Amino acid sequence: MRRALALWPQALTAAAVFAAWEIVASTSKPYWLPNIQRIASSWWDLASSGAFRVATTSLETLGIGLLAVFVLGGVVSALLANVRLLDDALSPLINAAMSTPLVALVPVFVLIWGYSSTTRVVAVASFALFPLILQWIVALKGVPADLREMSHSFEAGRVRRVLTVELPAVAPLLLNGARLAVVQAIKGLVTAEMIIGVVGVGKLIVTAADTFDMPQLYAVILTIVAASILSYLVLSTVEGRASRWAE
Amino acid sequence: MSEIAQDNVARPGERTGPGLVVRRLSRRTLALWAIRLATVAVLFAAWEIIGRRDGVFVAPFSTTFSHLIDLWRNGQLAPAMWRSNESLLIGFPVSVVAGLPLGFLLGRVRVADRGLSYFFDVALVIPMIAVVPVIIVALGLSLTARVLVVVLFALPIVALNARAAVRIVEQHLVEMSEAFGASRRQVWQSVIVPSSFAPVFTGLRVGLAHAISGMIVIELTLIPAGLGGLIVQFRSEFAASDLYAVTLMILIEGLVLVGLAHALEQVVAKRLGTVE
Repeated sequence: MRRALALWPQALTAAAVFAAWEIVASTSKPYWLPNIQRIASSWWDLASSGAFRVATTSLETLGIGLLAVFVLGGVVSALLANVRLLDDALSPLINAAMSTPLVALVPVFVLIWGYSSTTRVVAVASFALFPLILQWIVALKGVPADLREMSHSFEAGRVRRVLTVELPAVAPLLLNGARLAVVQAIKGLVTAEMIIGVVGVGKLIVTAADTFDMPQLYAVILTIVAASILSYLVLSTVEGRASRWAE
Repeated sequence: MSEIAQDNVARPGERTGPGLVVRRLSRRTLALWAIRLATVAVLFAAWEIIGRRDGVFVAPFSTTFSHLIDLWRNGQLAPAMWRSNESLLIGFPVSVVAGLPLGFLLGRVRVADRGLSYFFDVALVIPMIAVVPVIIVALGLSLTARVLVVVLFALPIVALNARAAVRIVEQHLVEMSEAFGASRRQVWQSVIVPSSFAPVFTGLRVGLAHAISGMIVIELTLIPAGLGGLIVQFRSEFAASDLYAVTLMILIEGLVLVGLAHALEQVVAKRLGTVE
């Protein structure tokens, strides 16, 4: 109860935003801002007509893309974390690549792979891979030296040592990188689908926008926003659990 | 936010000593640059080879580069770049002017932090591109719409970094200066602002990178203007080399602008080195 009460500033501002939304939407009735009831009923129509089923292809692409990112990112970051020279040489390049607007590459992907899921998987990877690598390098370098020595002295096998002692010790940081990657991957997916315009949730958005169906547009956008916040919160919780466990 | 931390991962400084160590160090630097150049060379060579084999969907680097020069000479590129950068030129300063004070407020006033910061957290987590259609319906295919998208991309990261920067100011420094009778304004001027300068600047650099992304995103999705407009046009014409040339130009612009910001940041950090 007291914890809930402590959230009053957040609750207050959220309520203010919704109140302002409702007031503007129902008094001056701007075209671009439907009121919340209309959005809700539009969402219900979409949900019951099965329109959100296209999201399964989006989620599938997201899963494949993330899998590729984790495997590739794992290999590269393990390499760089263990070879200091490579890390010092290549991390600046990765940082430089991240400072470029990689979103500009999406049309190139579309040109090469068309409207296929490869395009979207590559877009997801291009958004998520570099941040993941940088974060995982930090994580893997953070394995405490005494832990390494200890597991060494127990003469455990190299693989077992890494899996049972070294990785769990830095699990919170690894999960932090994973969370960052998931956030970026969702951004990459939505960006690619919106630029392509005929698949997945991008299709839902572009269709609603093209027909100027504002309640439907808001319903789709709010669903995407809610899904990304939800996945972020879930991963944060897992991360919090892991860091408590690691201590 | 993890996004703040990822960009300024501190690396332990190299040990510098007299004689042998210095010579070893310079050999090491040489090796570093050899690896870097080799990596870039391999990437470009792969691009060139794939492009020569394919020719339809992948334009080789050499052709891309010559098309880039052609586009510049025949006057298609410069006006498009100017049009695109209008939104950046207005949007990024707006993000800085609005984002920094907001971030300082969030960092030093607890109630404001709790009531407002989560909006910025959310803004960093969600795919902002999804909001673009609403902006276009509301503001039309206008410069205002493009500026707003740039601000939406850049402001949250600028504000959150400013917030983090003034939060980590050592509380005992603030208390000490207050004990010596410093006014609120003096505390800000001589303690908080100088010691938070470096992280704030890092935030500005990351914000600039985001702003450039925002500038391109809106042009690629629904307003075919400027550089994004050229890309959309070349894509529909299947003019691969021109498409690659414009894309390369955008990446170069990001690299140059953020690189300049990075250089400036290091100059400033060196000057303020005594403060830390």
